[in-house]
Amino acid sequence: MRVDALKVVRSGKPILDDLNVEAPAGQITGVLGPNAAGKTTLLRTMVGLIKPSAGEVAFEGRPISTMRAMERARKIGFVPQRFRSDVPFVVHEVVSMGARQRGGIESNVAVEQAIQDCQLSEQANRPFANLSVGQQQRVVIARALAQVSSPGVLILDEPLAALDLKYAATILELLKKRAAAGDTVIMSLHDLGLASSICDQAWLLDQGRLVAAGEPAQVLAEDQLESVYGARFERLQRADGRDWIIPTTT
Amino acid sequence: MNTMAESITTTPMRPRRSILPMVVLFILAAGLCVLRYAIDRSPAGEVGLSWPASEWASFRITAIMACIIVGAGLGIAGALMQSLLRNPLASPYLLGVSSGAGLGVMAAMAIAAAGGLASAATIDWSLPAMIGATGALFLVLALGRRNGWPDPITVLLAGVVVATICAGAMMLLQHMVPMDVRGRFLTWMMGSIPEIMSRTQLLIAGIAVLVGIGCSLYMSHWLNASLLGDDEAQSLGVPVGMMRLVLLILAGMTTAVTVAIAGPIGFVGLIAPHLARRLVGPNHHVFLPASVLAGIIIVVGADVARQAIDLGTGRLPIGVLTILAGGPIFLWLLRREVHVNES
Repeated sequence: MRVDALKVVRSGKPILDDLNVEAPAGQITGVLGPNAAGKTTLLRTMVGLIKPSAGEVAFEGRPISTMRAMERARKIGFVPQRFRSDVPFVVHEVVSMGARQRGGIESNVAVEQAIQDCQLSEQANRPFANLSVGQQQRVVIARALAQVSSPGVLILDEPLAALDLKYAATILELLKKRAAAGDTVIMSLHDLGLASSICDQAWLLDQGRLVAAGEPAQVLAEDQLESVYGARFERLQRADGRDWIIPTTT
Repeated sequence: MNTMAESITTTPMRPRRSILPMVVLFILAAGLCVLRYAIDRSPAGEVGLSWPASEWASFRITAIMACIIVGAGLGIAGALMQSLLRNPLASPYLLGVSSGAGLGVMAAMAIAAAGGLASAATIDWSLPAMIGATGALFLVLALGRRNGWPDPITVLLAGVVVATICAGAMMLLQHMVPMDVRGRFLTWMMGSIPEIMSRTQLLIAGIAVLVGIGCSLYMSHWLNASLLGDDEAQSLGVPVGMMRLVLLILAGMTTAVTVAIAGPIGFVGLIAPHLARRLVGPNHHVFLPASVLAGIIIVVGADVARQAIDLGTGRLPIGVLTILAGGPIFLWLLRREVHVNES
């Protein structure tokens, strides 16, 4: 998925300014940056929810603005940062809405697979509104997983924010599998250590501009992080060679 | 994958809890239509059950058809309004349609009176009602736009304000016309089910309501997805703005047709979707037809009741009955919902 010369302007102020990046298929790309860096706006523009002021987003060489809504929905799934908690359907129905456009038996298989993968079998017939926020988050992720037929794109805005450690690990494992199967996975994260350990690529944003893009080890350089976040970070080496990056208080 | 596919196709379907309520609603609606055909009220006010003589049958069939069109129209419009505006208090009249129709009729009555049309009592007011309703609807939709498409909150506010302005204009016109015109207008505002309508009028009204129901059912999966929120619905391929515009126009036009036939009949469009949702749940595939049936039951039921009730002043206006019966029913539903949530 490519982003070319992307610009989003609101009330005369640029929210995204001349972004040029590419998220390779088969990899996990992390979108990083402080609050109000433009991460959510970028992801929503990549899904087609925001019309760019200039530039374009393309999937497999085709601008997404030229794709029909249903075609786009089959190829690009989205997990928003915030979702409605009062949805009046049971879990199975919510996940099924994602797979509806796939049709027939493929849709049923995708729904059941996503429910199993996100460990929601026990909650399948429970009302969505009665679930905890973490369970609801998994339902929304399952809906997006059921929606996209490979090779497609999964765009997730802070998908782990409401999950406990066990389910965060489950979802990360699922996303790795989808990437390994050829899907493009793009997600915003606040946990830089996690980004360092899970992402194949990272984009660092600040005030709507792309500060760095590439492998996490290069993007998460300490001087770069300090300048973007205005804070100091400590880097710890893990056994697998990746880094843990934690903010220090001094 | 095959194993998974086989296991799913052999998995028994979840129990369809909506089938029985739908059958009950249909039988109730059909039964009330038969009752309306058979209920007989003599000039002395005695009520009985008998098949009408052939010369009276067409009046009753016309009344039943009008009831079905009005009930179905208000039922579907109410369901659409509550879903599209995400507001359980939304009724079809929030689009300013009834006030616009009222203003259209009042203006036509004032013009007729000023023009010295002595026989104004016999004029068919459906055309000015339709013109007023349509004008108010498109004004509300034009004022309720955000980024080019109808925005639920803005539409709601625009509807309330347009309705209030229309009400003010109606009061001004009432102040200016003679007393008998004022009385005639108040009678129209109370609503009435016509027993005389041309077949063409019935056919046009019926087709308009059927188109509204058909298009709404066609978009019912979009309506379901829209309950997830705008972003998620759009990411699922739902053109949310276009869907809202089309369905609001359909809801408004369907309501305008009902107002042109029977005048404003309160509470039907508010209560029918509540009853339907309670019986079959929020899935629009069944919720929309259930709202249509609930609307028919309420309007035909009210028309049956007004044949039977005699307060010594002739048959009660149907709008009075639906409001006096509908208000307490709505409060009962409200308290039940609060009680369920508390427990």
